[in-house]
Amino acid sequence: MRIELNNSLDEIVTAMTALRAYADSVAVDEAARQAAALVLDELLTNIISYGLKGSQHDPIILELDIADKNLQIRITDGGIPFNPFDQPDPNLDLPLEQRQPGGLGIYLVKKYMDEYSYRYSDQQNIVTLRKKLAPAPDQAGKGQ
Amino acid sequence: MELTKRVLDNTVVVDIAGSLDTQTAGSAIDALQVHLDTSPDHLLINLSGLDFVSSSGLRVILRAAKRVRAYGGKMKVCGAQGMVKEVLEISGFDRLLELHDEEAQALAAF
Repeated sequence: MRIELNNSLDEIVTAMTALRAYADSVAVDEAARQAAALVLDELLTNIISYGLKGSQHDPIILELDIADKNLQIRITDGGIPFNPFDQPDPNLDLPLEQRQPGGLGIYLVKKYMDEYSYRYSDQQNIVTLRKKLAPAPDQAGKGQ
Repeated sequence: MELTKRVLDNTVVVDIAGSLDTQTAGSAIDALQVHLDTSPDHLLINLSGLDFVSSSGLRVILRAAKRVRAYGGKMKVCGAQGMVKEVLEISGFDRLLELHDEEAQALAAF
């Protein structure tokens, strides 16, 4: 499935709706759905709020596929070159007063995905993520 | 996202339900702000009805905790389950805030 998203935070709702429809059509398990929804919220928010800020760009392209028993998510944008996975992980041991919310989003993406990668090609940021799907329920006891 | 306020003795309980994400975080911050204007001594955030949270949602909780700490109040969080509890733990919020499974436990701990 491939959809194009405009440079607006409202478009995250469009992405979530597309994710739900795709997950229904290919029977994606609940854990993978939630993980996918989380990473879409995190990465699209970053791209729209920072990467594409203040100028006209081509649409963001969201592609969802099943590849080798994984849910594969690819997000392509023409914003400023930015590898989200290069950022340092947040320090989770800081006391409340010093804790900043920044950096948690990408940290969650890393934690919730089984694979993540970034490349910059043809003036496009391309993030590819994979989440293993849960094995199909055992059918052995069916009908008993 | 739905945010409702209850008052139990001297504790303000704020129930946040639904999805706390980039779309809803702004209105949650505004609504929480109103409930914090009276600087309640005890604030309990009940997340038992929350089924999705992203880092934008964590920002709402972190902001409330800092605010309450700044005026000398106490804040606790209860009821997180499933994905919401997992995200709080991965983000280290279980070390940062006092998390309780049940509302009664949290109220008794103030």
